Amino acid sequence: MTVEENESFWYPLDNAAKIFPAITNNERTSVFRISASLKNTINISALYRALHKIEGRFPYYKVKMRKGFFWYYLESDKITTPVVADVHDPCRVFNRKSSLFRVLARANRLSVEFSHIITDGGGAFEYFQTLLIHYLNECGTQLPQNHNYLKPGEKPDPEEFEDAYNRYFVDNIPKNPRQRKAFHLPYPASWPHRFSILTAIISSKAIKKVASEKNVSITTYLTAVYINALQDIYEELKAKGKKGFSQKISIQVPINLRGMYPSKTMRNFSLFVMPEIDLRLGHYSFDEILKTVHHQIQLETDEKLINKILSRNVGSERKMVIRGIPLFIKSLALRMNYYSLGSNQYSGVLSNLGRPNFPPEIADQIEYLQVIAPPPNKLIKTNCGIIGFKDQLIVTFGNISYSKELEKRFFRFLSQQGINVRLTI
Amino acid sequence: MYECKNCGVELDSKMNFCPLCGEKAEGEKNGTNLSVKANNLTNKKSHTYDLTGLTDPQKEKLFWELSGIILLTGMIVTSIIDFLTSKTLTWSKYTLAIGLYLFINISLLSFMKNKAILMAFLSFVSTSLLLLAIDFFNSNIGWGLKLGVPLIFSIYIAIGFFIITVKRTKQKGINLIAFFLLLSGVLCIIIETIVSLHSGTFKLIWSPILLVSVFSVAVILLFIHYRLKKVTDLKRFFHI
Repeated sequence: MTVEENESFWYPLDNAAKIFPAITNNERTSVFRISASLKNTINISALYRALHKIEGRFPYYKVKMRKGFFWYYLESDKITTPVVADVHDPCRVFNRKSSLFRVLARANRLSVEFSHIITDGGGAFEYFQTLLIHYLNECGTQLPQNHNYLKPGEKPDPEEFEDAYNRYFVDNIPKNPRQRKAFHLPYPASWPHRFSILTAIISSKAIKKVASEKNVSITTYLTAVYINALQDIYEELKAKGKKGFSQKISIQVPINLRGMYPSKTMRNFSLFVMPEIDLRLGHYSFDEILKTVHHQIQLETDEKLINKILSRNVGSERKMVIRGIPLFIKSLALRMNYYSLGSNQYSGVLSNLGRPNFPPEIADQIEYLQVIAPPPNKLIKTNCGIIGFKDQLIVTFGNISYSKELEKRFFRFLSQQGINVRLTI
Repeated sequence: MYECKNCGVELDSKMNFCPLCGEKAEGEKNGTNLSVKANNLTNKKSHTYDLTGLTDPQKEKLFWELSGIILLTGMIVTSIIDFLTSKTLTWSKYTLAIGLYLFINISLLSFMKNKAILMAFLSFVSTSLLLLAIDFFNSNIGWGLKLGVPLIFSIYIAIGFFIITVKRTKQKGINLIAFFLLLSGVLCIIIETIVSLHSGTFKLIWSPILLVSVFSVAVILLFIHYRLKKVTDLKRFFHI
């Protein structure tokens, strides 16, 4: 799709986005946040100038969602980027008629919140980095000429608009077997949902050291810590004589497909792998969890297997029988099957956004970054967002239950490994 | 630079309010009290005529005050000149009436924006009174009440109808021109009816021809707007 400046356009929702309009409500907002705590207080005029500068560079986010007869679609709109005071709970739902992303400011914290309907962490992170670079430039920081960042004057590449799932879809891929139900935290969800956040800053070097001692990646290591904490909770419940819990612990780990398939898309382009342990086989030591998570992630991120998941997801959307069903019936069916086909199959979510690519002049102006995954539903109750910055790894847990047991066990385990954990707001 | 008490963000010294939460820019200033005073003094000097810092209601009030002064001065000056030259008020009665009429309508626009129906009603009353006054000044032959007020009433109704149509139309484009043409055609029929009734015999001559002409143009415009635009809209709506 080629889009000239000021030209109106529309496009269907991508494969990953299609489910969100049906399941979104005030609690399950499908909105995630990326924040930066800066060294100086935010200058609001400089922020507006930076937003004005970069607005034209990201036309695919200046859209509103419309309802079609068979599907929702996104239509370009001459909206300006909404900037709001960051005084409410994070990741609040977007109004159906409003923009699907917002910029938030408070004291020295600058944030963006995106609905998963328009993009995933990869696209949002690219936008946020561009915003930060140009904001700090407006505040007087000089930018290096040779650094690779998105320039406001540039025309967006048509590939940035593409639905990359469709591009890499391969027909006639065999079906995946249906997954067993997973263990979920037994704590009651707060009602109305209160989305609380707990952020910890840990040393990148320290975590890298313990992970490389075990020959695994940081994501694999932290996924194993997550599973280990859930296993502890499960076993404690079992020891207390409580029964009826599923005997599988599985963590959903999003994989950014831009690293596997060449695409510049700024819309959703990620899939999940779900490493798991089967509790019917007995207790797993941490090393055993680490080994099984490592091999499962290796296996599931194999190009052929990713291809299988991608094609299966896209394939169902391409079926004429499904396409021809009116939207209100599709939405009803998606809502009814949301838990059975999705959240039932995993116990938690761990999303690692990676590291930004800031010039040193920019990085010097930032204290730390933070990512908050979309508020979890009443079944999952907690999730975890991770982002690296300089020599720090910032781990943020989102929680809608009254218990912080999982977070306590997660961070206590890291401390026991000699990793310094500093909690922050 | 000021700091917003609510959001904690920095605001430029030119900003009166925080654009995020609307809080007045009276928070702590970054720096010493001395520099706050110095900065305030500099601001007062350099922004004497700077209207950009005013809010919309402040700007409206300023406009109302300025127009009031200009109209009042005009009314007084013309009356004095008229009185000095003719020893009585002759032509200046018109400028007085028109000046007063303009002032009432500017006041309505400035202070009654949120009460559109009342504003339109008072505006209609003031226009009718203006016509009656002009009729009265001009040998009082009675055209004001029989012709002027009904014509003004139909024009106000037509304008009101057009504004509601514009507000309720979701896709705004050349369809609005078509609506305007159709409404003008109907208004012309009403005008000719009122004029012909005033002259004693009901006869429509020119207005039906005008209505047919604008109707055909409006149909073409509406066809272009809805039919041709709908093609793309339907494609979006029914994409499968």
